Amino acid sequence: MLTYVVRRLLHGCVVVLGVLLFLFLLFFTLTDPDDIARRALGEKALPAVIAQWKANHGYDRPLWPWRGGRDSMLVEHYRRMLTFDFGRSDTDDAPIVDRLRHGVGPSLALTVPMFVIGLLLSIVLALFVAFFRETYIDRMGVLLAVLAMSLSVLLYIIGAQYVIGKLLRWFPISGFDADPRVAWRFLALPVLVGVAASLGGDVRFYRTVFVEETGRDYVRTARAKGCGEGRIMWVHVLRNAMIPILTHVVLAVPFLFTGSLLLESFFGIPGLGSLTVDAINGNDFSTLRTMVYLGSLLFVGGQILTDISYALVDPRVRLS
Amino acid sequence: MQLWSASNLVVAGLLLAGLTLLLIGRRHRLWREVFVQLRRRRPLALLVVAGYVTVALLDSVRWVGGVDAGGDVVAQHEARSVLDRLFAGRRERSYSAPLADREFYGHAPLRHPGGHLLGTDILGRDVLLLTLKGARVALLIGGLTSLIAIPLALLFGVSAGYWGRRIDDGVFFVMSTLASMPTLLLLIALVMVLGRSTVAVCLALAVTSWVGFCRLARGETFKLREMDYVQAARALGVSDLRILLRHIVPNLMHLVVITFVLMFSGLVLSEAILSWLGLGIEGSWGQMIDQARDELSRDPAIWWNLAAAGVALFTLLLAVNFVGDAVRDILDPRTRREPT
Amino acid sequence: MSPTPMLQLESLTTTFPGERGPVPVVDDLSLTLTRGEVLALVGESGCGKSVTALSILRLVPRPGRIERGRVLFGGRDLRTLPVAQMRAVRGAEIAMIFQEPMTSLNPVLGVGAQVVEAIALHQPLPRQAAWQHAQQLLALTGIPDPVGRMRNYPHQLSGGMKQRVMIAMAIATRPALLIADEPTTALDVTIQAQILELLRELRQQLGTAVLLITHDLGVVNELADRVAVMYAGRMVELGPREQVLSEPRHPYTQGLLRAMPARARRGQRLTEIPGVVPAPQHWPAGCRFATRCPLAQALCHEVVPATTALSPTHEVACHAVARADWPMPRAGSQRLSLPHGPGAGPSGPSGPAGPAGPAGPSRSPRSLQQAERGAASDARPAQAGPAAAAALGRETGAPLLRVEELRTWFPIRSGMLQRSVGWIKAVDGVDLICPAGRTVALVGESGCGKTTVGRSILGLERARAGRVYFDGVDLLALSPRQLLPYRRALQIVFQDPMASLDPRMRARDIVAEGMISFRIGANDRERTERVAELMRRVQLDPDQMGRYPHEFSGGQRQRLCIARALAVGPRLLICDEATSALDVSIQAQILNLLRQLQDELQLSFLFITHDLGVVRYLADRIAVMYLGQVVEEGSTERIFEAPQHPYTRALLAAIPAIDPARRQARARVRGDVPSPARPPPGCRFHPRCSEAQARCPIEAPPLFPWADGRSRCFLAAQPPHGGPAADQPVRSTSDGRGSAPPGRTLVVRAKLAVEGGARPLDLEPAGTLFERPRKQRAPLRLLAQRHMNVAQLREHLRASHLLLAGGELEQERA
Repeated sequence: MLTYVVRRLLHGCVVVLGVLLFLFLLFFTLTDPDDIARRALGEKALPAVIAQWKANHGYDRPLWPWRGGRDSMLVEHYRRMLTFDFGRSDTDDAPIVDRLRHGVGPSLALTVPMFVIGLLLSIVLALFVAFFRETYIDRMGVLLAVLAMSLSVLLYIIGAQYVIGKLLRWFPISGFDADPRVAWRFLALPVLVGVAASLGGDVRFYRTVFVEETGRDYVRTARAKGCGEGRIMWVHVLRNAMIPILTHVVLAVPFLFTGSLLLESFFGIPGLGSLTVDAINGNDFSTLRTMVYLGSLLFVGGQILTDISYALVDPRVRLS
Repeated sequence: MQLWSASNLVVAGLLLAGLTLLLIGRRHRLWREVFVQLRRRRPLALLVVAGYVTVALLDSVRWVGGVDAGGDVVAQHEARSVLDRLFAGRRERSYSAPLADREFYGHAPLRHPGGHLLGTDILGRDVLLLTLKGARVALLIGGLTSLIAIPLALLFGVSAGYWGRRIDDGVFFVMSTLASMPTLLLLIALVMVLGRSTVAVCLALAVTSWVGFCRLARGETFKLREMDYVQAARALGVSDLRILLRHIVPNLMHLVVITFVLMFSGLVLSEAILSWLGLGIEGSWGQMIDQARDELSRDPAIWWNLAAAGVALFTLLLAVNFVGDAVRDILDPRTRREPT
Repeated sequence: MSPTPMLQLESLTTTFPGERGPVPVVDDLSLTLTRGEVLALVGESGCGKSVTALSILRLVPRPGRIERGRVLFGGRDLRTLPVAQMRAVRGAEIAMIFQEPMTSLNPVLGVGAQVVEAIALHQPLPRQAAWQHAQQLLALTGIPDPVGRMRNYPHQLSGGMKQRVMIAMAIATRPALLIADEPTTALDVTIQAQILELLRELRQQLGTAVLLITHDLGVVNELADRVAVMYAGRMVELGPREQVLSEPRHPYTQGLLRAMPARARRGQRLTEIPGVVPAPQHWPAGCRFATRCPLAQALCHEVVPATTALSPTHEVACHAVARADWPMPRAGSQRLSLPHGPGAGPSGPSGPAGPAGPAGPSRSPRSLQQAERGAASDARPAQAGPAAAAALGRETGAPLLRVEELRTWFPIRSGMLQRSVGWIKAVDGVDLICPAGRTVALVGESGCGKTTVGRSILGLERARAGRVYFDGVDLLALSPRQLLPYRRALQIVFQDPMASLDPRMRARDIVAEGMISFRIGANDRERTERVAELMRRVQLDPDQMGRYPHEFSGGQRQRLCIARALAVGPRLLICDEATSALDVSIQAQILNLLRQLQDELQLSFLFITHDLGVVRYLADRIAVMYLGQVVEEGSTERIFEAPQHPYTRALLAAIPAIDPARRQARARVRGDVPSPARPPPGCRFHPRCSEAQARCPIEAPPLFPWADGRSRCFLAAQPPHGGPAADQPVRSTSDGRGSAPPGRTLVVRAKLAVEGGARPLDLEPAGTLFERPRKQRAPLRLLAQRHMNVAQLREHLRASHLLLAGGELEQERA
């Protein structure tokens, strides 16, 4: 078991190094630093100013280690990313780390309730629909799920803002406050939208898992033993269905930290999602780079978590 | 050769390829069964998809001339599609509500009173035309991206699954590296670096979406490789390449179709998000929705722009999702009932 | 046995929806079961046996439903019982065990918890008491170390153990009726003997009535009091076991018994039942068997035959039986003659040993001679080219194929860098000789490596060491390119005909595949002609060459596989469990075809199988495999008359008898086959051997020449057992103990317990994660991957869930 975890960790490290290489190729070789500088300083910036800017941001060094040795951009890129020294933003020279620190709180305030409510709601709904499989309730449930899946998130957001925020005036359309007593009013609407937007797909996925499990031989055995349908669902089916569901769920946990791009920027929540959107709009490559790197770090971590939780739930993995 | 004639050729080529595939498919029992079943189970959804495809085709064939541009030299040399020609010259100065005969804000009389079924946008363009033109963009996003992603994924997945060892290690590494980056961020980064052209956006979408199918193809190949009929072929001295082409790939085709249909809606939705970030494709519904968002906060609100694009997008995705579900049900070996 | 009826089925009809209205799968079935008796429900697959059982418990999967009839049990009609009361009947009064112990237990719940659940659902016991009770139940079913096993999960148990757990759950509340649906079909023959013994004991101890559902007439004979034969949803014959098995009256029952290779005489054609069991929607109007019946007249096709009582206990539904004036082909044909000798078992003290039948003496010396010549030619260095050697082989009877010291190991990868930490020694030193034009059977239980031997000979699996001489040329030493011409000469037919035909290819292309790769036939038309000829040869209609595999029946698919192999003109055909997945009547058709082909084309067969009935009927020589090694080899007659190796004896003793006068299946070996990853030291069989001696765990026995073959047992080297003479029967061991003094055996066992070698290791870790077709065993090479590679497993799971993300996957359709 321990070697298994350690092996997953090693594999994760290799993947992170791969991600860094990919980012380097993408952001340093495929993009011209002059371009980045001009976008930051304006089209008409003087060559000298651009050169100075490039020197400040470390864009003037040789790309590859066989040219520049330890001073090359590749080595520097790996060194800084691996030591979490993200440097300054390309656009306004603010330290990226500070921004990240400020952004995590609001992001979590949005994503955690969204995640918990969404998960519970979709599992309960899926169990309900699966319990009535092959009846009208089931067919209606699936139909609604497909309808919900076909709607763009943008439409969810715009619709909710217009109907609930503007017409009904239940909650403010956008904004944020650090004080939790006030903040919940701002968060209610985005959480609602976030839950609604992912509900359709999740319910359908979980339902499929449940329905497939209910067709298995051990369920028949349980029935032959005299188990009630409720007990079969809760004790037998749910435990087995947890295995695929866990993969789905645990992997989502790390992304709670990176926040939601769309919801945050639409609802004016100053989290990491908003930060990223600002970076995109301002052509801030260094921030974007950092976000992708952090995202994949979290993903790799989530994958290892999934593997461990797999082993915890499934005795076949745990005991092999 | 001019751009428009080249694009016509591409459209014709694609159309021909599609028809050939359809004809080949009809010859095979499995695919014929899929057609029949689809027609029986989801006639409406099929019809809707066919409608969208027709509109997209009407908007894809373009040529220059034949339209009175009123002395505008630039407009004179602009290639126009069939769709453009149907709506030629129906431009107003600014917003007008659906079927109105006066401008929405200025109350000036319209040139075509009651002629705009879905009203006009800020530049006075007919919203119905814009919405219909969006169909081509949506199908382009789904189609072109799949055309890049699926063969790529098939190539890597099948070779990794069939030969295993080093090739598998390599493919697996690339897959896990790509999969570990947050999809949306990677997509955005790619578009920012590659530029914002249609091909670049499709390429970016392809890079972020091929991993899922590659993983699936790899796993399936792994299973198929152990099947008795592949072993029998090896015992018969059939070469690896022939086994791949005759046994492995044909038995993955149902997955290709399922993936294509299921991927399609995801791609169109992703493009909508890209559009909202200003990185989308010109003329897509995503872009229309993005622009209409601000118009909704005007007073009185302009709602028809948003409604038209939203409904068009929703209807297409709904139809595709329904078709996709049905295709999967028909093709999924677990639900398929072999007639005996 | 008291005659009170306990369960009464009255006109039970269960339907499944079809294209044109509901299709009855069980049709108008009436049946009575008295307290304490064992009633066997017999028939081929698709006859509605299992649906009958599920209908009694109201467990018929949707969309099937019980349309008509009554299920009277203890004075209540179970069909109309309220759900809550029905639940109280299930498990408590009627319990059920299923065919697939691998998938029938919940994989994520502990074994103990599942047994406790079966108790707690019907008896309000405190937790501690229920746990205790569950332990006692496990002990009762013969599970070693029940206290420890309670905390195990299903995947840690072997198939036999799982079936014991299923039985423990079923008898938890001492039900009055136990429904056993093919309880031993998925198990190996030695394990089957153990389970049959257990069921017999339990029935005596608890007095439980058993409704036994099976296709295996041997199992019926071993266990049943009465037999009900079902065909296409209807009962065709019902009577006491002895009568039905020895004097069957219905043509279907007669056909089934005649089609059994174990009852047939060597060299004789098996009596086939033509055709297949039709699908429920195509069941004919009159007598359902009429389309396949040799006695059928016009009346049969129109009128459903009524049940005729031949005696108070024996009923038959057949017009021919009911009417005395029915034209009969042969008067005495009902009385089935049994083959000579002691059925299919070893010669016990009761069985008349020696040459009783005509087949024995006429063939035995010949094969003996052949073996001697083969052995003589072994010494000659093989240097001639393939053609010359082939000619030589045909003239002198030299072996066409000679396998020496073949080893095929699969690495178990584990640890940080996925290095090989061990090997699954699937094949570990196999020697084998196949004479030209003859049939050699490779016999063994699942996991013994017999399939891997076949695949290694073909080069489908890379052997680590050894030599495979074909016509004197070592195939393992050849490069892939050099091997190519030999591929033509060696072909294979697999077990599962559905899996061995590409579902996307037409019959014509399937058969022509080999021709293309070997450039047989100048053009497509010539090849098509050849395909037609081949299809006729395997008795398929050439007009069907445009069809896809799924449009053929199971037997036809296997014919197609044979045609594909024949297309390249092979000289040796490896049949890997080629008839194991088929029903008895279809199996007879295929076996007849294979025999005919052998005569016509001078084919040699290497028949890999676990079915000793087939082997006895078909093979000239037998090689018995155990844990990667051949433990005994010799002529078929000698092996069956005088088995030398204790394992061979155990294997033969475990075969259910087919003679209704005797019941003989004995579980001579205890426990399970150890893992091929860690074979026991010394003789691999010694932990399970009842005759193990002190040297067995230490010293590995070589193959001693013995009689007309070889034996890997020290007993074969010592003359006390009667010396190397084929005609001298082996000393009786029918008490199941053995010849070794008990004290010595005990010492050996104790030593093993210390080393941990005796603990049966699980053969199928995580194997249940993969679904696989029934009756099919996992190849050993996959076992190696399954063993450790969790990451791969997870990847696989993920991939399959990608596909199912959000689809309707109701697979409950029949």
